[in-house]
Amino acid sequence: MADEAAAFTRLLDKGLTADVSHAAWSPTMDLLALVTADGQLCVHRLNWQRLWAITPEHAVTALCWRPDGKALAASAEDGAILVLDVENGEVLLRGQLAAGAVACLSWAEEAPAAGKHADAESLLPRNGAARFCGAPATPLPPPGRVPPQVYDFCRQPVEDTALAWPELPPRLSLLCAADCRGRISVYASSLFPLAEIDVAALAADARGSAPSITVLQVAVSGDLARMHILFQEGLQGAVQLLVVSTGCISQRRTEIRRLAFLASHILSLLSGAEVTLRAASEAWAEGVVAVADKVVLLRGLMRKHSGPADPVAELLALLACGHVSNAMHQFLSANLGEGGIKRLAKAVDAAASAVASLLAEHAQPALEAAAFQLAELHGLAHCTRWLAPLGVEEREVAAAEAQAAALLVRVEALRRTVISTAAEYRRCFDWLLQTVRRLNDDAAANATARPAPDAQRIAVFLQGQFRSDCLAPQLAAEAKEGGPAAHRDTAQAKLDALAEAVGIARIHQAAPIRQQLSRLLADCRGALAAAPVAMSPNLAALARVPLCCALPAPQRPPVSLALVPEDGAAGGEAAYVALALPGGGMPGPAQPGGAQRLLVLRLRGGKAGGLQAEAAVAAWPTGERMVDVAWYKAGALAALAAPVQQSQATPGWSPPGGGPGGGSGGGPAVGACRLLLLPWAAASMRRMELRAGMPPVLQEAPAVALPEGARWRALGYAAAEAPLAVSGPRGVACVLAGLQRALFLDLEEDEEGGDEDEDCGVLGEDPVT
Amino acid sequence: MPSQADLPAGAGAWAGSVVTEQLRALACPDDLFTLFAELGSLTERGSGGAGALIAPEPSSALGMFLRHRMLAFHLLQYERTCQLFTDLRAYCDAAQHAGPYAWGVARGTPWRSGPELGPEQDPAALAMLLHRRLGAVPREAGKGPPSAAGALVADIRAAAPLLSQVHLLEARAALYAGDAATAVTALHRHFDYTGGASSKGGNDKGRLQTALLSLGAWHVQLGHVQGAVLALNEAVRVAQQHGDHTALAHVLAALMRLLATAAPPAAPALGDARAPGAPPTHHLHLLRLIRRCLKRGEELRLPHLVAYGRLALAHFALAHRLEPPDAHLRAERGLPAPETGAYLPLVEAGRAHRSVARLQAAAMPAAALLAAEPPTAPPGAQPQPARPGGPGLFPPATSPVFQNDMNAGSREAAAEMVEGAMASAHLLRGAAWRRSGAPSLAAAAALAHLAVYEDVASAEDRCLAYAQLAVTAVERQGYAAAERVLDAADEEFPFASSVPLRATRLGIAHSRAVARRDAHAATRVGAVLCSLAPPDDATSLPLRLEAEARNVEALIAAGRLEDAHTAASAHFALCLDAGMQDEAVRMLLLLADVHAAAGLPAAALPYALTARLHAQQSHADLLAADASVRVAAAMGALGDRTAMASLRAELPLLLGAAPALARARAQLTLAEGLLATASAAQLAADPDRVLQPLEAAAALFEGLEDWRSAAAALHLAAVVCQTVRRTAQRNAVAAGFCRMSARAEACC
Repeated sequence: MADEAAAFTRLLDKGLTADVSHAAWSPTMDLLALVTADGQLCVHRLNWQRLWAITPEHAVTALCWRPDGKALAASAEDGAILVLDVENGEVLLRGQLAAGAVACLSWAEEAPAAGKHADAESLLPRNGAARFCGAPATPLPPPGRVPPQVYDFCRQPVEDTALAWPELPPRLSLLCAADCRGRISVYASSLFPLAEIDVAALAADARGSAPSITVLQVAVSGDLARMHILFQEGLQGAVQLLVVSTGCISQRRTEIRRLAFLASHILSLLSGAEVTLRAASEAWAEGVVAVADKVVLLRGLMRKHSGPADPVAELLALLACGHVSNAMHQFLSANLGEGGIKRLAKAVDAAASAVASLLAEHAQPALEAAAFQLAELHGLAHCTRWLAPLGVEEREVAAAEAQAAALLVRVEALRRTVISTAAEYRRCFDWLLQTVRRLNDDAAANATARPAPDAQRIAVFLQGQFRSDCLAPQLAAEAKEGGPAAHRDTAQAKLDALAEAVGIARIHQAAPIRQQLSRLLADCRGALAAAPVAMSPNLAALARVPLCCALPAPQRPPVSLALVPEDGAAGGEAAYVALALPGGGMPGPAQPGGAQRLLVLRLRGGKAGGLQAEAAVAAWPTGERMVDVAWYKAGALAALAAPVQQSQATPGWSPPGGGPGGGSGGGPAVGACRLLLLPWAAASMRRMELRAGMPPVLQEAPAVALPEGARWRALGYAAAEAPLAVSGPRGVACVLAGLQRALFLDLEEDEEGGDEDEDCGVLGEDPVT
Repeated sequence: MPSQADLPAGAGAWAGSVVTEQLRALACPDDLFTLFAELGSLTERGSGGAGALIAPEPSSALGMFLRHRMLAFHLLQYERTCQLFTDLRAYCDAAQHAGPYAWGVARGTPWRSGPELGPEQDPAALAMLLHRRLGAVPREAGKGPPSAAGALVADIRAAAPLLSQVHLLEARAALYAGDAATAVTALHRHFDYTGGASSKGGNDKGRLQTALLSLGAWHVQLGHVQGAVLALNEAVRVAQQHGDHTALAHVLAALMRLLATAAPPAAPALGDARAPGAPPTHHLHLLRLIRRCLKRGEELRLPHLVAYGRLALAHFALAHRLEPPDAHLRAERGLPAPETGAYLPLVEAGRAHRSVARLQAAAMPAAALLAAEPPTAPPGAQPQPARPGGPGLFPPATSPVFQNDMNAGSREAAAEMVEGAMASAHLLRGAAWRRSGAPSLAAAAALAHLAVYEDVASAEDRCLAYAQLAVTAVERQGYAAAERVLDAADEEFPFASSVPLRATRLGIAHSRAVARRDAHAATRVGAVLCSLAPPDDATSLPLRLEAEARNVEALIAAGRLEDAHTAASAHFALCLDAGMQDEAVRMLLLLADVHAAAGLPAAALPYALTARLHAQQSHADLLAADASVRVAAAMGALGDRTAMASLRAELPLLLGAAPALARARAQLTLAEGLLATASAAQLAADPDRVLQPLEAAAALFEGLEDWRSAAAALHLAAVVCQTVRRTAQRNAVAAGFCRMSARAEACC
């Protein structure tokens, strides 16, 4: 066997620190994402160099790549769906499934040709925010940014050129996340909830609903018109293929793309504004704490001198008639001093500048852009007739738009209050500085004639802002319970009446700004969550194909589902399903020796929108069991086979079946597992009739031999584990073999002069037989 | 005076009791001497009395106040002292009847300001009052009758006949009341008087320049182009003579404003701004002037001028197409033009807003400090003793907002002006948002102006904000909402002479009259609108264009299409000459309407297509959408079945952001297009596809009081209902039709 060139090329063979639970190749780059049993998610290059690794809070339960290869979706045990940046593993988006853990993830993008015609007459193909709003602002200033005090007012403001408006994706992509109860949530680009499919309800036949459903794989066709769902009833029940018509998504794909883009952008802008306001609140708290500490100190001193403990009254007396009590004298000259006042002034000034800058440079642009896009969304919601069945609640979007506009006014008012408060603090500290200098008999300072302080304004400040901070409640996350009830004076009532006349929400509200923003965010989410409700009833089952009856043991069978573009003028795609079934104890055609069988089904669109199915069953060589199967490309199936050695079970090796009749047994062990690539010929399959209540395919499919001309390579290890990850576009495979080892194989090129200890060849020259 | 509660316990009570007891014991004018003697002893105790619990230091605020009062009292004539006694008795009687708390002042407002002008005002207090009043004139113009300002001026003049600033106050009050003759005369008088005072100080140059600049700016504000040109030319000459670059930059800013105000025929020619080869046009001069002013501001480090320049640039971009700074160089070298997106009005307004906001955030706190930091010592001077962290509260700023030689009052006034500029920036942004199809943001900007900058914005700006709100209200909520907004404006400014506010009010009335097909009312309102612009056509070009556009609309509604065509063509040429892109597009749309009304869709189509192209190029989305409705209507009338495609793309913008009239037209055009393209079977299968737009159009027309168009839409809807055999719905629609027709008939 080893006298000819070895099939495939072994690229590397590396040891792992833990078992791998999920593996997926990037569709566009030579990158492999791996999830290990120790909870780590990492991305490797082809040379095993690790790009990044993260350890999510909860265990990763499913993994898939975005079709453009620039992001990776991972789902966690708690139902969270994370979209990670391929460059650095940062979380780009986060979604949450209500029903708990995600069992399976799949991400599909509409085929390039499919989206061409619709754009011309689609609704709203413009991106107004990118043209009209300034460069998008990050929620927080980048570290090391020039502080706002040192802007050069005589120069053009420096535009933040690092950021650009996100561009409308050219094609719609759908992320399908199936939870453990068999409900599939369909998200459009950027995790916009689009539809929900209850597989159990769609697959239920006349006998009643199926028990619990485990979705094994999902694949969506390139025109987004059909979704193929491979599922298993219960843990060892029958495996079935369900085809669901997603024609309404396909029909509305341009509008959905636009809507999803708008929605995700609005939500991310509003979330960013929340982050900004939180940061502003924290920044202001720092400044206020610095002042409050000193007030506490003064109060303590006043108590110590057995005087009245009202620092504000004491300061007012100092301001009005220059009265300096002993406590005040000690406080000003000994405790605070000139340096102390300067430090305090600097702290408050820095806090106020930070808040004003955060509001002006980050919160306001984000809110403006969000309000602008909400206005666009409102326009889109007006056209529901052209969006059906995709629904956008016009009233709710209009309310959100009105709230966003009112928020803008409130934030501007807050910004001005912050600036004027900063000015008042400065005025007060300036006066205190002069007083301290006078107390200290500073000749140099007293010699220069300085204008008298504006006592009136300082007094108002001391009795107002200084006594009780008015900014912190506005920046608080929630209104204080038991706080004073919001009282609107006539001027405020007049402004609210004006706001009502122009259709925006009330400006004077009891809730603090952050609370109003949180409500707005929730309202937006609510308004946008209407899509699944409207969309889901339009998703109907096209066909249901039972593949086999119940499995003998509760185990996930090696199975693969793929959509392969078809040749010919008609184009379209065919769904290929490969399912490895353990021999023995199985209904269906008897197999000598109870060897494993490989069931292959091809399903493609027929004339008049119908579906055609073809199937075949091949006996797998005895003495070997399929560990995993995966469709490679152009109808070629990659299979990972391991020898059956029941008596010498090695770690990572689990005999198929498990019951008394389980396991193939009987076959001679070869001592090494193999990777095979089987070019599946359509001619060997027999056409089947799709009808309701049809028997499992396994019972009707003809028994055929494994296809001729398959290439294989022995891997040099006795054991192998699922998952087998192959990448059609990149022509590589990752096999997990031996004791926690990962092998990369180039499936396109055969190796010249293979290793002595490795076997390889083409099927028909099996070393076993 | 501070209340008892504000002073430390005991001390406040003691001081309060002294004053209260003395006041209660007032029996004759002679007792006043006792009172003031007691008050005087307060400060004496403060200066050294050991037994007092609390006593004001002589140099403290209260000490100074008491000393001032005592001095004033001792200077009083006997009659005045008696008058004071009578007033005090009246006060005491009132306080005794009002209860125990009336003696003190409510907590929280301890520094109650007394009557603005009393007989015993000292010159410092008068100067302060004058200063305050001068700042308040622009804010309070229109709030009271013009005679009130005159009365105050007379009072102050009686109290202090030698204060020259009284003339300035008089001049400013006259300026904002629109009394040009008084304003200019009083301004001359003010500078004549200050001339005598300041010539001793030797600062005659500054006075002259300020006078010329003020005169020029005031002439601009009054719309006197020639007067302004004369004053500003003189200002240029003086500034050049003295080599005063800062003054020159300010004259440049005033010229910029003049050029922006003056209509092209009346505008002064600036010979040096002529580009070789290119036909010189007014707006290009203005653009170059703005850019030069900005550049000079940056070079001379004058932040306020830079901010003003940026606002002017944004204002320019709203009306004209803003060419990139190097456009002519690029054209000469055959380089491609940069993207127009970077020079859109909204982007410019955003830039201006951002830079003014930054300046505001720095100017307000900077003005709060008592004195600017002393200039750094010259090289050779005796080094000052080192003070940790510098002499002031903060170390000197690297980019100071104010120049070091500005006093506290000027800095505060300048900071207030910056706040006013911020308020104006909101208005500019509002106009830009509206143009870009975001009416809610436009409303938010105007409301931010009204709600946040109430204390600094000028009355003119506030009226403009009300006008913007009224326009948004009529477009989104109807006439009643606009009435409420205008009523609120009236309530605040019962004597307002704001042209934009009046123009808006008249514009709404005109639209209403045109919608009702009331030709007489429309003509009458249009004539009043025209009369708002000054008769010499030297300024207010946008107002005249607005009036003319409305005139064309009225002519179309009255069926005088030839006149309408002539007027629209003439004004289209005027818009082109003035470089007003959006107005030109609007005239093109009116020309399309004239042809469509004449039943010539083939003639209307080129106008509509041209308008759409231009609007799209200048990113005026709403105008482009409006043009698309005309294109679709014309193409539909010509039997083109693809007309609906272009309309569909604009539908979200039209239905979401366009004025009610455009929305109604869009729905009607849509329904007509669908009727033209749908087969009978399709119509029968889904008649709501047509009926819903028709009913929406009818409702919108009804809201606009265009009952005739509403009736037409309902008529069409009834025919459709009849075709698809929806009898009940047909009857309801027909009833609506009858109602609308009756109202239309009644109106005519």
